[in-house]
Parts: sequence; structure tokens; C-alpha cells
Amino acid sequence: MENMENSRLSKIVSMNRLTPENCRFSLSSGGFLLMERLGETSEMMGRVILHRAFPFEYPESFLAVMDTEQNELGVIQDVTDFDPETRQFLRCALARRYYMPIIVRIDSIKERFGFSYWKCKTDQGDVSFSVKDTYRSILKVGENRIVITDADGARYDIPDLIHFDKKSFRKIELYL
Amino acid sequence: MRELSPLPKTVRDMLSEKGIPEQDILTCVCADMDETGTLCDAYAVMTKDELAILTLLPTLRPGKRTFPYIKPCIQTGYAELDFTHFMLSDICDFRLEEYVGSGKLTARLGRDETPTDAPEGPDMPPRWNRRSGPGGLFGSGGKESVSTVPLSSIGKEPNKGIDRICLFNFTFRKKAVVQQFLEILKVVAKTGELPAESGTKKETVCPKCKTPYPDPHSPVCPRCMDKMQMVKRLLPFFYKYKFFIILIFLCILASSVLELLSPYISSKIFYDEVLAVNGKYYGQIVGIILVIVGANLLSTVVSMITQLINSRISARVTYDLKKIIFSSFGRLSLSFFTGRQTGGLMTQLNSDANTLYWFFCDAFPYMIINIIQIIGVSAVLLYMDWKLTLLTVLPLPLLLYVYRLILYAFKKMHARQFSKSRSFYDLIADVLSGIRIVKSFSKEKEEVSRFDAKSRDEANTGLKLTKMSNTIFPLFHFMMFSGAYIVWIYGGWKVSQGVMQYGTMMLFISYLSSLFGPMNQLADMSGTLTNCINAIHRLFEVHDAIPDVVESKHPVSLGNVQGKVEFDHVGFSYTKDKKTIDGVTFTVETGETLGIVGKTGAGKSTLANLLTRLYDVSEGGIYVDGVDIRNLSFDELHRSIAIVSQETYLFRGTIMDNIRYAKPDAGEEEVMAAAKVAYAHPFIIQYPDGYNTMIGKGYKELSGGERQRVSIARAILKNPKILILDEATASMDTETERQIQKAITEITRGRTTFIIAHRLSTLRDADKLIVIDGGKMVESGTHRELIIKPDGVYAKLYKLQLEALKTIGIDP
Repeated sequence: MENMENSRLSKIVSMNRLTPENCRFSLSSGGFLLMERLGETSEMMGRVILHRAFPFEYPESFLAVMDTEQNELGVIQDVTDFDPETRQFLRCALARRYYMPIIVRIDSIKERFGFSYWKCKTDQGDVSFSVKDTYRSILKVGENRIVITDADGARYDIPDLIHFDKKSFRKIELYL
Repeated sequence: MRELSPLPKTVRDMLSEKGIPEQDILTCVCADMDETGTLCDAYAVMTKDELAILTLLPTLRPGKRTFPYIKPCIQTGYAELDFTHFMLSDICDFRLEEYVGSGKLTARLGRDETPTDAPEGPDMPPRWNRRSGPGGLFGSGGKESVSTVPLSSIGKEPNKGIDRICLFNFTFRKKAVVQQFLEILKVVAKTGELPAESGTKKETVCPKCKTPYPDPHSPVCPRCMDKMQMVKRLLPFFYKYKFFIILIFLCILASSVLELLSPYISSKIFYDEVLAVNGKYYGQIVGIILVIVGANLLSTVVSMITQLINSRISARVTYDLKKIIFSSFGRLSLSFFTGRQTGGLMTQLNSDANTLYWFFCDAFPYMIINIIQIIGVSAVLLYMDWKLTLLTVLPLPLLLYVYRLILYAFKKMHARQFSKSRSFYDLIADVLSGIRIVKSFSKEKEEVSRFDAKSRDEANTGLKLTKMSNTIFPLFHFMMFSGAYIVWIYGGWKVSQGVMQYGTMMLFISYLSSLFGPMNQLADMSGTLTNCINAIHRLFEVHDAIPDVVESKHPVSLGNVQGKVEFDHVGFSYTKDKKTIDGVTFTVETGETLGIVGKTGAGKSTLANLLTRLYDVSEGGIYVDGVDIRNLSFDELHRSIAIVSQETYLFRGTIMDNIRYAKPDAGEEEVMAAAKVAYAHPFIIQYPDGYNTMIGKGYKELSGGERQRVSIARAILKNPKILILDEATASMDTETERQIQKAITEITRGRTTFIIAHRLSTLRDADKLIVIDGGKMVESGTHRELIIKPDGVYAKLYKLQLEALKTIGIDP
């Protein structure tokens, strides 16, 4: 019954799935992702931007492909639908849009007046940032992962709290 | 050179080696990321015809290890990662592209061929200072009265963005400076010269400690605010109660003096003067007992008085504190509240006021007395036997150290408990206000289990805290009394030798407990004291939060508002990543009606929010009678504008009070007239209590349409020059809407009116219409003009709605 309902829903809302059969991705000279629509008459769609529908659960699936005018051209079901070279392009474009250094160690967290000041080592280098309303700026994703958004809107990821550096965990434990 | 970020000497040298001498540099900025995402220093410098980006990775060597754990790194120099440079004549169309957490400054290869005023892309940087004189789209000037901008060209990238290149990358921490850099870059690329300094430069760094302000919008550096400062700031508040506080202080002082005296009487005098054969008062047992009883009685009376005064002022102080916090809430802008949940604010208001009261009227006097007592007793002890005293205070340093550890642990625990209980109350407030939804989806069980989890969580943290205090404090007490054992050993030996009187030793022991008693209390206080400091933190967080929307200090008075409204290249965004309004320009003459059309989420209501200054524009300006609304006083602005929005909120109270909300002195007849115009009168009069019907949660629940009619009446009663109807008729049936439509035509006469509507039929009589899509104005003109546009958005929407209405048998 539920299945039937679902199939009806997906009939009403067409997802316009993008596959290697109906589109091709490439890189522009400036390093931006380009898309070409394949078919009877191929059409260059120009520069496209990838949007994750579920950034945390499915970072490589359900990717909405938008053109520079914010029109959705279609949805990529999964990056692995495409050949290895294209996958590389797509992953690179995703990494560019969703910049989130992974925190490997927390050197210090100091709190003053609802703000906290963090000094951390990330996979991209050392960083210090301030967080407004600390409890609410730490987003718990699933059981063991957290994403911290700082006062400027930059994000930092701790993908696995269980295997996180013990000393650092003790500093952050309070806010979880 | 205009340094947007400081340019170190080494980098200057490196640049001049590469052929960019220091004197040629017009401006520079330090971005913080390279193409691969590595955090580094990317210096972008601009000369009058060149743009160069030098990407450097600071080389570090570990410094000396300092207490407590951090090993500082000392920068020794730079390793070059990359160097690129562009001739400004080769690139054009600079844009700042914002992604999630990071961004890019990009440009297009080739010469700029597009006209300078061409519409810009959706991810375009803000357009500052582009007020193009009077006129605008509807302007009387005629020059710019291009009635529509075709939708297809909005955000159009020539060549579909294929020839776009990235200049440099940055994380959001650098967004503000990069934006400034871009503004300069645009001017330099066009004119080859630096633009004039834009006057007010926003301070983003604390002048004292040089760290950036945590909140870019409020120049408050929490790091440089110390705790004593906070306590001092609270003192003036308690100044009002100085009489009571001094009284309490005196009472406590009296009772502690009595407390000090009683061991002297019951030990020293009792043993050495009354019981000893050669004592002064030998045998006068009844007398001494009477003195002891008298002293005890006196101290009981004193403490009773203390309690009485305390209870008398406690209610007043907490009331006052809550008032302070509540009035801060009123002062703050809407954005402060959208970021927080109401339940959390409620707990904050309640518990923080109580905590602060406790601190100043109870803990604070006690703390001072305790300190005095400690000093007094130690002086007496030292006088009596300094050797013994020194022996007994030996464990003190250790105790102090342990005390500090406990203080730290409790501070953390309390902060944690507060956050848990806050989220618990948030949940309750959330579910209760959405109970209708919960029931309609029959999610009661899930909500109960959610409640259960939160409640258990809260209880667990509380339990942990209690457990901790129940284990740590007895242990701590045990350690504190270790001094007493030393007295037993040393004093006992001395008494047996006959060097010390028995009474003196007993006095020593009782004084020791009155030395450790206050210390003990100080230690007990640690938990609650830190709790209190956290409360002051939060109080000042609310109190110091700077409203985003600030009233002008020297407002311009318009006197008699005419009601001409201009939007000039207005831009605004709620969140950092998406622009809600982008470059909207139009003019509405006095008394005209403007219809605003667009899809859901297009930004229509945001325009209304901007006009009423619930939020401030981030670019461009809004002018009423030619005056920027930011220069008007809130009072004048809100007096001349009334809004009926799609979310109507009626306060708990009578219908009468609700309609009269905007004009409390309105007479009954006036209120009834307004209700009649708004078509609210017919249903109100049906109620047994008429206009005195209580509405709100727990009372009469009005339907959506009824609520809206009441709020229209409220707006009409205010008799504003500018009226905004934001989907005001959305939840009414067609019949009622028609009736109210007549009323609206009636009331809009002579008023500047904005009508925001989905149903285009509502807007047919509007003098002008604008179509908003994705935050931009894509079409404008009269109904007649727009309807004949072959590919027009409005024409398409109108046709769709017409057909929809026809299929259900209504001929609009």
C-alpha cells in the first residue's frame, strides 16, 4: 500500500534524474564544473553548481544540479553512477562548495559571555574561531558526528566522536 | 596603500622580488585558503593595472611548552605555495561567490562588454552606493522608467559561465574584508584609481586584545570583560536597596559576633574561671548558664530579624531583575528571537533572576562576614598560641588547591545542567504550542518518548551533580577538620604537661571550627556562586546584545507624513548564504496602491518587514517622503505604517483590547467603526460577550479569517498613512474576501497601500504592480500593461489562476 502511494507520488513529481546517458560533465579552463545535456541534439548547459539534498547522510547522493541562474537541471542519484573521471570532477566540485575542515584536535575552548573561542588543529591546518551560542551552534548529526558552525558561518566537522582525541573530547563533552 | 589586512614586511619583500614594488600596491587583503582547501595565507594585492595573488604557508616551529598544555608555535617564515597574477585589463565582471562555509572571488576572462548597469547574477556581491538619483523604476524622471526587466536575463552569465576563473578562495572568516576588497577592485579596474575612503569604517577587532569580535555585528569583546567588572555593573542596581542590604549585613555581623563570643564563655570562662577551683567566678554555675542561654537567645532573635527582612525584599528584587531582563527583550531586534527558542528565554528570565537575588541578598553579605570571621578568628588564635595555630593551618594550602579544582568542576556541571533544563523546557513549550499538529498526526506517543528522553537526560545531569556534591563535599569537610586532630595531639600533650589550661585547649578547638565553618561555607558556596556568575553572564548577554536595528540618535522629524515610499536598490539577506532581496527599486506616490505579486518565498513579505524596520536593509535604502527610514524615529515610523500580516497574532485579552492595541485611547465607537470596515463587526456582535469576548489560548479561539479581520480592524484604527496588507485576505472565503475587498478599497483611499497577495484578483484595482521572483523585481507596471505581455510572468500567473477559478465554476 505504502509502496503504491510512493510510486504515485514520484509519478506526480518528476525528478529528472541525470545519468551518464543523458548528460556529461567536464571542467572549464577556470576549473569549474560544466554540464552538457546529451540527446538527439546535445546542448551545453554551461557552468553548474551541485547542491547536496542531504549533506550529512548522503554526501554523494541526491545531488541537485543547478545552473548559474538557480534553475534545477536535474538530480544525480549517486556519484558512482558516473565513470571514475567524472566522479573525480563531481567530488571536486562538491568539496569546493561544501568546505568543512575536519577537526583532529582541540587545543583549547574558552568561554566568555555566551561566546566560545576555539583553537583547533584541522586536516587543513591550524585554525582559531569563535562560536556564538555554543550549545546551539553544535549540530549533532546521527550518534557520533557533530558539525560546528562558527560566528562567521564557517563550518567544522568532527566525524567520529568515539575515535576522537581523548583530551579534546573532554573539552567538548560539556557542550554535547 | 590601503591595507584591508596587514601586509607583513617579509611578504612585501617577496612581492617586490616578483616585480610588484611596495609603492605600486593600492590595496591588499589576506585570504585564508588555497585552491585545495588548505588553510594558509593568500595575499591578494592590487596595483593600478595588475592583480597578484601570493599564496604562502606559514612555517612554524614549536615554541616552549607553557602551562597548562598548549605548545605555542612560533612563525619562522613563509613557504611559497603559489603565485599568480592577472592584468586587470584581461579580466572583468568580478563576483564574490558564496558557498557553504567558504567562498571565491571570481572574474571573467576578456573585456567587459556588458553595459555597466546590467542585471547581476544570483550570487552577486552587494551593490553599494548605487542610488541613481530620483526616479527608479516608477520614477517621474522617465529616463529609467523601463517598465520591465525580462526574467531571462537575470543572473545571466555571458557564455554560461564557461570562461569564468577563480582569483582566490577564502573561508567565511574573511568574507567581510574580501567584500571590501571587491568593491575597491571594481573601481580600480574601471578607473585605475582607489575609490574615496567610505568614511565610517566598521571596527571588527577588539582594540585591547586585537582578537576579532566574535559577533561581527556587535563590537563587544567578551575576552576583555572581567568578572569583577560584571559584579560592579550589577551593583548600581542593588544600590536602591542599600538600606536593606546594610541592615542584613549588620544583623549577620551581630550574629557572628555572638557566635564568636559563645565559645569563649562556654569553654574558656566555664572551664577555667567557673569550674576551676581557683577561678574568678568559681561555683557560679547558674549565672554562667544564664549568660550562655541569654547569648543564644539573642542570636536567635537576630537571625529571625534577618530572615524577616530577607523575605520582604526578595520579592521586590526578583521582580525588578525580571523587569530589566524583560525590557531588554523588548529592545532587541526580531533577529535575536528568531535565533533562540521561547522556552529557553523563559527559564532564563525566571531562574536567573532568582539566582541573582540569592547572590546579592544572601550569599554576598555572608561571604563578606565569613571572610571577616576568618581573619578575626585567626588573629585571636595567633595571639593565644601562634605555634599551635601555625600547625593547624598547615593543611590550608592543600585545601585551597582542592577548593579551586572543585570550583572548576562545578562550574562546568552547572552550565551543563542549565543547558539540559533549557532544552527540556524548550521541548515542553514546543509541543504545547503545537499540540494541534501533534494530535492531528497522532504523534502523542512519540512526543511522550521524546519528552521522556529529555526529562531523563535532565534528571541524570541533576543526579550527577548531586552525586558529585554528595561525595566531594563530605570528603572535603573531612580534610578540613584534619587541623583539629593536630590540636588534640599537641594541645593534649601540653595540657598534660601543665603548660596549657584545659579551657584554652577547648577554646582552641571550638574556635578552629568557627574558623573552618566560614571556610566550609565559602566552599559550599562555590557551586552556587559559579552558577550565579553564569547567570550574570547570561543577563549581560541579553542586556549587551546590540539590536541590529538601531534607532537613529538624531531622528529627522517629518511632521505630517505624506506617504511617498521609495525603495532604492534594496538588498537584504536573513542568512549569510542566501540573498532574500536583491536590488529592488520602485517608487509609490502618496495615496497610490502597489500590488506585490510573486511565488511563495519570493521575498514579498520581506519587503514589508524592511519597510517596517523589523529588519534593516543591507544595501540601498528605503525612503519615506524622501527621508531614509533609518533616520526616522521608531515612533514616527511605526505611527505612520500599519501592517496586517499573514501571521496574525492576537494577544490574550478581549477583542476590544486587541483592536485597541495600537491606539489605547480609542473610544468604543471608533473601535466599532474600525471593526465594521474590516468586516469583523458582524461576527463579534454574535458572541454573547460581544467586544468583551476573551480570546487567546484557553478562551475563545477565533478562526483564521476572524483573526485576520480583527487584525485588519486593529490596523485601520491606527489610521496610518501607509498601510501594508500582507496576504491579509488569504484565509478568507471568496465571499468574505469580496466584502472585505470593498472595505479595503474604501480604506486605501488617500493612503499609500501595499497589497501583497497570491490571488491576483485582489490586485486588479492596484495603481501599480510589481512581480518579485527570487528576491528580484522582474516585472512592473499596471494590470493592463502586464496582462498583455506575451511572455510575462504576471500574464502567465493570471491565466493560470483564471483557469483554476473557471474549473471550479467561479467567474472572477
